[in-house]
Amino acid sequence: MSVLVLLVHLLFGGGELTAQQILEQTDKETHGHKDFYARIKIKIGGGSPVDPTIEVLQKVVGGKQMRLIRFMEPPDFRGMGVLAEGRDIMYVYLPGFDKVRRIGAHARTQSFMGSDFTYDDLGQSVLAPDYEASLVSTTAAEWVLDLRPRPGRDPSFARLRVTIVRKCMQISKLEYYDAAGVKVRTSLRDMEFSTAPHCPVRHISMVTHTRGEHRTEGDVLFYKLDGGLSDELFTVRSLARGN
Amino acid sequence: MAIRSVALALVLQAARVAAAQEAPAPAIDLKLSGSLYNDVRYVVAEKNLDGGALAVPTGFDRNDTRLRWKAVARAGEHAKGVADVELVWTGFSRVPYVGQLPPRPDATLDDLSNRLVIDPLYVNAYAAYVDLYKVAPGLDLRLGRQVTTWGTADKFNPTNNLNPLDFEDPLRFGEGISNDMVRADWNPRGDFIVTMVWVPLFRPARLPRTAPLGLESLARLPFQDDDFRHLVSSLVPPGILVRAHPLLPPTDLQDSQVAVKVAGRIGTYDLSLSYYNGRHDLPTPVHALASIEAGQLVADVTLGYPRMQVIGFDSAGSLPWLYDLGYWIEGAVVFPQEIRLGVDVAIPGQPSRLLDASGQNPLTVASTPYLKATVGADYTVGPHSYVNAQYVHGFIDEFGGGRTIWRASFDPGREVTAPREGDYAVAGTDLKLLRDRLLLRLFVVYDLNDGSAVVFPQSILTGSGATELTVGAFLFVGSPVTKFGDPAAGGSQVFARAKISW
Repeated sequence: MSVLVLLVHLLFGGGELTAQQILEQTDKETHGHKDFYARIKIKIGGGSPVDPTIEVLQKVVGGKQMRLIRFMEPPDFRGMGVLAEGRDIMYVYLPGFDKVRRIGAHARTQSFMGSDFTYDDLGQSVLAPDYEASLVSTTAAEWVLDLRPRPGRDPSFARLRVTIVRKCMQISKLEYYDAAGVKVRTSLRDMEFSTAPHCPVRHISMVTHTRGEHRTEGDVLFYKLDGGLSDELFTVRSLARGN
Repeated sequence: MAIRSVALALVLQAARVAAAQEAPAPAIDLKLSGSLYNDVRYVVAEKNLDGGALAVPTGFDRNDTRLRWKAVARAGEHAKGVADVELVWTGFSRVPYVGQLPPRPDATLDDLSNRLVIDPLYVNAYAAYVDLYKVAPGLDLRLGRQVTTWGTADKFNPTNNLNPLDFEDPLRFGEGISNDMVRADWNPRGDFIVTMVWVPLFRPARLPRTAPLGLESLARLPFQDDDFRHLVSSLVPPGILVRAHPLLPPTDLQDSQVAVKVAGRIGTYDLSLSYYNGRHDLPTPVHALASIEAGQLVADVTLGYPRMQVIGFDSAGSLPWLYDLGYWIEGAVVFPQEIRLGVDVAIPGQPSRLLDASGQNPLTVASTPYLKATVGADYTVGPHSYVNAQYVHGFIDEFGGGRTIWRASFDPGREVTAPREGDYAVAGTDLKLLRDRLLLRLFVVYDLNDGSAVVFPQSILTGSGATELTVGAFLFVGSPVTKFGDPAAGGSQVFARAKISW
């Protein structure tokens, strides 16, 4: 759909999309579905004991992007879940205590289960509301944008640099910079180009440069778009039901 | 009574729904997990009663091997069963050891061939329940043995009264003991949830193994009336033998426990209101009979579990105007049953009953409502460290308004009094090192009234294959007539634990 919009724009709109429009279209292609389900096997570098398999469920409910993450493996984490109702409201369900606990917003930058992902990565999906984009470079295959926080917004990183694949309108590389301009992390996303314009992501990697190039890999074992997930799944009550 | 009737109706509804769901039977999705856990502890410092007698000797205190199995069986989208049990080998024989305190009964030669005496074990049932989802629109039921934990505070939850607490292991800081109950959660929309719980039978708290030491010392007398207490102090010699006789509440419907909670969110702040009608899970003396047996003065003390009603409130969230600091506030107003301790005397030449100046049994717990509260905050400092601080008014074992009265048994005229609901500062920090494989954790509980404290440092090393090695210490600081220095609270110990999960 977004590629069609892009074509219409190129034919009748008088040229390239603006950087902000590219970012918005990318958000829409990545997160514009009614709902999303994926099962992902995560491998945390450095020989982590955890290496979980998780389910990710995502849907816009009441105008808010909701994301539910459930742990399927390993057994001692099985049943654990995290519900992100946007960036500021997150809950974790701890099956050992059978208790849902609020995660403070201060924990957003903390590592999620020792991986290179943070709680903020769980809560943040779309980028355009938090960042203003400017075009860095463009080729026939991709755009490179710099993203800086919009006034009044407080995203976790002072700058992002995103590489967007034109034919899929999806991010293939995302670099995170802190306020001092130091590159903190790099995320790479391998996608299935043969099904363009829709290109499902098959593999994600995240490298934290400030943790000695510590790496987390994620293989998407299964995914489904617009599967009809119920709104009721994205509630604290549903979180407490566990797997 | 109305709430109890509703609870019964819910059980019947659950049975109806379960019957309706019998055909066709959905496939069972069974998931098993477990862990093996060794826990060795050593008491590093003797603890004496205030009179100087040895109460807690040094030596190995615990030598547990724990094998835990959990099974979760899901039958379709509407039913789930959970069984979570643990076999615990205590690692100590029941045959008495030289110098063991408190002394154990003599063993026989037959005991030495009895495996359960030589190598005792027991079973912990953490959970054994059935969940039925959506038995009516938005309504879930949970039936069976379970732990229902309420409250937003960290560990010190004044609104959490449904399950008795396990004080037997101080390192678990009063974890809930599972109990048979019926729980209904009604979630009509969003995160607005109404929870009702019915607990048919009362279950008492599990006391520390050092609890009988409380009978060895007459440091604490519960009488609130000063004159009456001083009279009893003058009559009771240090050598009195005190025998405790706990008595559980009746098993009728009127003595079951009920609770209701309404929870939701306003803006970004989580809020809940709750009500509990039941009993305090720690025993309190309700009657004493003084007599003389073979020349020995004996007090037979009956212990009961007083009724209480609790109206609770809690809130949690983040403060965006204060660096996103996480906060929680949890408070409960407790309406206790008045307790007057009947003191009968079966000693020739003495009055048959001791009464206070008003001619009644002496007051030990007034019916005056009192407050328990916890206010806390936490913060993540960078990606590897976390700090948490709480102010606690009313510790988890404290009940009733009025005063706790201590007197030194070596000097009965000297008394120390403090409000029954003490004030405590609790602080902790986590520091993750070695790419999060090593967790250094320190927690401290400090009694703001008497200066005693608990210091709990530990280091947890996580290895590959879901293994975990922990070494640490649990240290009590304070004199014998303080909250944490009391020998009945237990001895200071170091520990090492190894765990593997699958």
